[in-house]
This record gives sequence, C-alpha cells and structure tokens, in this order.
Amino acid sequence: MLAKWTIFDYVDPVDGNLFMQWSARLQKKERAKLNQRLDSLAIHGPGLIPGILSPTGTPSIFKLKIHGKVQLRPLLCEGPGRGEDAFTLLLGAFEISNDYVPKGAPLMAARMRECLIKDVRRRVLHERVS
Amino acid sequence: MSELVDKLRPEFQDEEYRHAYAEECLNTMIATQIKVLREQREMTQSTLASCAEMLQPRLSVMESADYSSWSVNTLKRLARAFDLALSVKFEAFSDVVLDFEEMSRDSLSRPSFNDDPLFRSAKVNTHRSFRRRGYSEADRQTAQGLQMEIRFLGQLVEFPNHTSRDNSGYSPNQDRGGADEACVGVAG
Repeated sequence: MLAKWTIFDYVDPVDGNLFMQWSARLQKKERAKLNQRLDSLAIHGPGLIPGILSPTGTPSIFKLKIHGKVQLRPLLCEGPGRGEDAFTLLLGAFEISNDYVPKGAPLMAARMRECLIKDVRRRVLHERVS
Repeated sequence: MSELVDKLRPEFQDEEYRHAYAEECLNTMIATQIKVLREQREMTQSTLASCAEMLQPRLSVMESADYSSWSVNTLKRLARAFDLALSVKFEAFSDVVLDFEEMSRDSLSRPSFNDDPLFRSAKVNTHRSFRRRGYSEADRQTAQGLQMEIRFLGQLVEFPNHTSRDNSGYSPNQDRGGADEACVGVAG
C-alpha cells in the first residue's frame, strides 16, 4: 500500500533540518517508536487511528504522544498548504514533568509554521533516521 | 510488494528496533480495533464501558494510539462486551507489518455472534474476508439483486411452451433456493 499522506520536515535557514538532528540523537528504541508513528500517519492519515494526533493548546499545532523512558512529543502541523494531504514535522520535543523541553515548544512550532506559510521552500521530504 | 516492508527491511535487521516497532503496531492496532468495533455496533464509550464493567474515562484512554498497558483480562472483558471471541497469537514480523499496512475499518470489523455467517447458515462462504464482516445491508442488497438476475436469466433460456420443469431438466426457479447461498459467496 502506498503512503497516502506526505510527511515533510521543516528546514531552518541557518540550522537546517532540526527535526532530523533531533531524531538522530534519540535511542534506537525511541527512534523505532517514532518511525512507526510517522509510518502510521503516512499510511492511514489522521482519520483511522484514534489519538494519533493530540492537540497542544496552540492553534494548528499537534503533537504525537510517544511513551517510553523518555516521553517524545514531536510537534507538527497539517499541510500547511490548503487541501494537501501532508504533515510537516516542525520541532522535536520531550515532555518532562508535564512541561515541554524545549520550553514553549508549541509556540516555537507555531512560529515555524508561520515561516513555512510565507516560504514553502522551508521544508523537505521527511528524512528518516533509521 | 509492500513499500513499508521495503523501508523496514534494513531497519528490522536490528532486534531491539524491530521489537519496539512491532510493539507500537500492536498498541495502535488494538486501540483502533476497539474503536472500529464500538462504532460498528453503534455503541458510545459509556455503553461499551458499562458492558465491559469499566469506567468510561478508562475506555477513553485505551482507545488511543499511545496506550500500551494492555492486559489479557481487560481484552477478554471487551471481547465479551462485543460478543466476540478473543484470539491472542504469536506472529512473524512480516505478518504484523503487512496487517498494519493493510489495516482499515473493513479489515478490523468483526460480526457479533448473531451476525456471524458461519452460525447462520450451513452452506456459507468460509473465506476470511467475508467471515470478518458478517452480513451487511450491502450484502442483503447484493443478494436481492442476484436473485432477480437469476430469475431474469431463467426467463431468457425458458422455452416458449415451457410450463414447469421440462425435459431440459432446467426450471427457472430451481436455483432460487440456492441463490441465497450463492449471494453469500458473492458478497465476500
């Protein structure tokens, strides 16, 4: 079955693909869980699997909740192009003691989304870290 | 060919990686199937929770991709509430990945005992894809359509002076009784 949804990574003009760099620092087991969740999203989209996307409280910014020794909270948005079946991974984050690391991660992700809306070249197809 | 298997082939050479990935597939598939089965039966979370003797907030937590604390006892209670049998099996990684990739509402739906085709009729299509769904409104419509088609064909081959069963050995209605069984197969 072909992936129905396209996953992109946000690219910072100075630091490059921050999401890929964050993924590369994860332990193998965490990376496996992250990749499974991203495959779920690419194959099945947001409609079939319950709770695959969780709201963050910041408009248009969602998180994937991945449990383990470390609580992964990758932040992403739908699109952001209108009508495109795509998600863009904006920022890799953790949740520690009910707080995001880095602090204020959803707001940072929202700013990245705004930058992406202004300049669509600020994203690349998701670069998977195995 | 599976695009996902191709992607996972090199990654799964690592034991820790493949076990972590497969565990996430399991969690995702259980949560999704509970929701699909609940909606198939038009049950609310409260109704299902009550049937399974648990509280609705607990069910809500379980109906989420990130839930991982499954117990066989809890799953048995849910199976009972759905009027389904619980099957726990060990699988090859390839089966888990392919099942996950092909997962859909249809593939996860299951008929309750009263809609289980094998227990409704002696002659039935035993193909898994049909058994999974049981009878649906679409199947019933297909059945009616097929019956009409058989009757129509019967009229076409009928001889002009034909009254009832003639020497040709064919009666336009002789298969009517079998049409119900045939349509069961078509529906699959």
